[in-house]
Amino acid sequence: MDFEKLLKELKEEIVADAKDKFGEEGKLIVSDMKDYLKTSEEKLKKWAGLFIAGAIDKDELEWLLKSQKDLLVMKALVKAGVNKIKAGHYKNRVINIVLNKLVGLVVL
Amino acid sequence: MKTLKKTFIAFMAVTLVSCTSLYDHFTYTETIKTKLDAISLIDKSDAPYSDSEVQITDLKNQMKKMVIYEKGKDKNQLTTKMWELISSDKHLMGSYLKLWEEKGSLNTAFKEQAKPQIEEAFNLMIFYEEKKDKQSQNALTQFINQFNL
Repeated sequence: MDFEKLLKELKEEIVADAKDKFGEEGKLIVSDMKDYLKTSEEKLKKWAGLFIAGAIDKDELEWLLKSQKDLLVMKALVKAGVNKIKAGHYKNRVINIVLNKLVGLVVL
Repeated sequence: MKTLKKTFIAFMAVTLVSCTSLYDHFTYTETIKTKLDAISLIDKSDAPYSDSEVQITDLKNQMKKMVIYEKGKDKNQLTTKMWELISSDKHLMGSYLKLWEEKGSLNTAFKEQAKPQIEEAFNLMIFYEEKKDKQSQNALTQFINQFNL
């Protein structure tokens, strides 16, 4: 199986389908799906090989593909959460500076 | 004056850590436990579903419990969302159990590929909880310590 060819065809089909169905919004979906294909390339190769060899069936292949998408969603959630914590720390630093000043005034 | 200072610091300490939910040791240990239970079941999933029904029910209940527990915490939408995702019968572990039930048993090659996917999902939740620990709790400790109370 020529996996590079398969991947190229997949990208082209996804781009065409998204543009056709979603117009301008399709660009976001295309970008999302390109990231998915890029970060999943090695796994996709392995899973496609197992499917062709008959070691896994269609439902199992579908579960693996969906799980990869779910993992990308979870990674995005974690990234958002960590950024939120960092933003919270920055706010805390500002509060801390103000507080130190005020406590200094109260004690003096 | 000293009492006023202490009261003021205590008030501000509460304010400081209120941006996101705090590290929760129960969540941390229960996430690790759930991960181990899930992996143990995946290992058995090339055998009949009916052989592991008790363990499967326990895992489903455990995941439901975690969703309810996480929902009950303030400013905890992200962790709740992750638990909902992993336990839903349309995604990750929930859908794995559903597929196993529908098919009776799963291919050995499939379970070997599915296992790292599920492990990674749980690892992300563990990592996130650890981040809360290192950042939020340390911020609170540092803040209080600097006043030598």
